[in-house]
Amino acid sequence: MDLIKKSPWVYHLNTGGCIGCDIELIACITPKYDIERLGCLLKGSPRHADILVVTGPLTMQTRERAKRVYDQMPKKKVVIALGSCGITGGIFKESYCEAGPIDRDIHVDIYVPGCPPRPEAIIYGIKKALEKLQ
Amino acid sequence: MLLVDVVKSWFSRASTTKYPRVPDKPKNYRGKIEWDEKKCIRCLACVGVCPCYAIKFDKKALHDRGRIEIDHGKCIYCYMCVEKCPVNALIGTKEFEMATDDKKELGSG
Amino acid sequence: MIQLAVTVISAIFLIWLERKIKARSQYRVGPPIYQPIADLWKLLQKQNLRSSLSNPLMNFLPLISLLAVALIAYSLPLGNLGGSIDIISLIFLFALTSLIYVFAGLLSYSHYGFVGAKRELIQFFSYEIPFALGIFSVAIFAGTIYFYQPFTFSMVLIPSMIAFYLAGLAKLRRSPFDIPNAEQEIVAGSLTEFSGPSLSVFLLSEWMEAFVICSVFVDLFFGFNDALISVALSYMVFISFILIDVVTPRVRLDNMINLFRKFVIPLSVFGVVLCYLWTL
Repeated sequence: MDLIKKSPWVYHLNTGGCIGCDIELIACITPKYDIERLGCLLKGSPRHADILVVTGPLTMQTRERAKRVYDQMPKKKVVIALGSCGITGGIFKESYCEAGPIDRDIHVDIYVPGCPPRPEAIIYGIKKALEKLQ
Repeated sequence: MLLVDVVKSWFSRASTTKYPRVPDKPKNYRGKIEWDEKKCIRCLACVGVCPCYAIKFDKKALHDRGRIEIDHGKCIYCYMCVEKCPVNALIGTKEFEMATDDKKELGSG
Repeated sequence: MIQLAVTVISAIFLIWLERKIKARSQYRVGPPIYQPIADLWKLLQKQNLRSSLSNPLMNFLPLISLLAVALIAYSLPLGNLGGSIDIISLIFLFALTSLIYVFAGLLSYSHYGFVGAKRELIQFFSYEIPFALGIFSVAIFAGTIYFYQPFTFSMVLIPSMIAFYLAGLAKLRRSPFDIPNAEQEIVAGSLTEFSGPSLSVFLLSEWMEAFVICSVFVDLFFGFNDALISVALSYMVFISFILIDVVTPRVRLDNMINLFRKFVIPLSVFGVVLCYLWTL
């Protein structure tokens, strides 16, 4: 019996954007949109987590570090690209240090558009990612 | 004393809106943008004003009348195109459940 | 055997209670009741990754920790059911569970592990003395080192009781002394490099340790002959730990050392001397 849908643990990685999407992700654990009732926890170490949430476009400095963080996560993992910057580069496209959307280096499973996406949109994205995991 | 507040909070209602069961659509929310084909006069003002180049005009689609394509992955939901359109052909909805695993569904590359 | 089963079930229930109380105190809805079991089961099915620089013995440490806590849980006196442990082994096993946490941080080759291990070791030197002296004072007062029955309450033991309570709070790594896993808010402390099954065994031994310390506290200082009253009282003690956890912030490491050195350690020494003089 696979109980990963009941307790997804999230690791949050910011690869160099403005922190709008990060604020919305942290807003998910505030009392208004509490995701702990769904079993979600925001963990500090990638080795404990199942879901990698990447915000921001990839910059030249964070390209290989994001790949290293992805390799450190144990098997059965999903990657969520949060915000328009993760899908196509968003508003930072063609800027001086931007290195392309996230799926140049890491295989992304779910894209969540929005700038920034609502906390409810993030919860919907996590739900779809968990369905992909099973 | 903080302990009194803590014990009082155990007996009051939690202030959580339980999302999947309670749909929440506040006013003035900038969600997905839809294009109304019948009102559009193909002036291409929206293509010029978008700061992210998210709106494209395809000349040969729809039997040579031309179609406006919005890339929801590039869009930053600033709604400048909605304000600029002279005939209100671009409508802002309040939809936000757009998470998907295929970029082409959103219109991106 | 019954004591071990009660410990495992109570550990899972108490951890759920802690998360639920912390959530309700912040006007949130907490996790549902099957949440700790779902966490453990999910972790058992993940891959066991290990960095190439870390020691291969790292994956045996959670088993040793679980064994130590299970040994204490197996031989605790619980009301009418007799215990089968003596005071010296009890102190040794309790020290072992804390030191395994230190070794885990050292063997996993990461900065966060080293810092977490160093902080836990410094905290260990502060709280282990009042912890051990609290247990010793009860043994001196009752005149026996065998922990076969719960000891009854007496006013003479009150200084040792307060010292043991504060030392237990520090041993469980809860606020205001949650310095070794303070990094869980920031990074992850000693347990950073553990993943999958090793992590689940470590978490289970931490949760069981919580119930075991509360149960030892109740058996040493308030002993009742009825098992249900003992278990209910240990739940109350744990809820008091949670309440202190919710309202206090974290103290700095040198503030914690000062507090223990200037208040708790002298209090425990005074308790031992008082018990010895009382028996004369």
